[in-house]
Amino acid sequence: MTPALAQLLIGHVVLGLLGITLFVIVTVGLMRDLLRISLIKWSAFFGFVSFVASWITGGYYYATYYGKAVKPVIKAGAYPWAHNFVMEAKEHVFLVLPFLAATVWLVLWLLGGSLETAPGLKRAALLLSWTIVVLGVAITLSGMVISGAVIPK
Amino acid sequence: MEHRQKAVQSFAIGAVLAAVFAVAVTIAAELMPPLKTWLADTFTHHWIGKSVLAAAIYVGTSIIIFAVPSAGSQEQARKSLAALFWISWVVVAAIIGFFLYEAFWAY
Repeated sequence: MTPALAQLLIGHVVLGLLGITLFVIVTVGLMRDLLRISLIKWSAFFGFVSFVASWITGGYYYATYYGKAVKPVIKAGAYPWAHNFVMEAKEHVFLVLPFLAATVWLVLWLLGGSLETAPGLKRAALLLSWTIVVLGVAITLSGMVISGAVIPK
Repeated sequence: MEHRQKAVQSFAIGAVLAAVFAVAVTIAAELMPPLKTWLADTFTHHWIGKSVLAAAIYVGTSIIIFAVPSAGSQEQARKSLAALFWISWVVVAAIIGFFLYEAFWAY
């Protein structure tokens, strides 16, 4: 792997973790009675941007390197299911995440000021934010499983 | 305010359509190799093709739904977000279930 690809892979992981952390802030913020709109609005925005950046960096690594150099090693190794199931599920479940993040950001951006007096809307935004965090953590753990399965015979 | 509620409703429905497209094209491409080949040939990689098309559907359908004349309401926005929540989990379950089947039972 070239140093540039290694940095892209590190960037993919760090940006994904940053996105999850920012949506934890959004989730906890939405659980409060008194909302700190500015904090959760900007957290959601930068969380969304982080996920998009993680999408691009991870996508470049996946399309240019993983398929040629990593996937064959995993498939020929002791844990082929790490690619056949975990990676396949991870890369496709991820596709839902940026759209959820964009939508939560838009809710906070457009209706943030009125959420305190609209409990149904606030609860819906909270559930979506929870979903982002849960899926993000599951995707992160999947990445760890995949990395751990790269064991040449 | 109605304008903003309608924008939220539109983008929530756009996200539903993008998520449903993502799972549909993923399963279809696995079951129909020519579709997977077309995605790879057109977008350099099948996953990039799915990503680009899902993003285009999200932005495109959200704008179209927003442009259709109708009144937005807080209740409609809430219902759209709730639908997005439930459909996201159905999509995730479908992807996991499909690849579980493909990896362990299909062959």
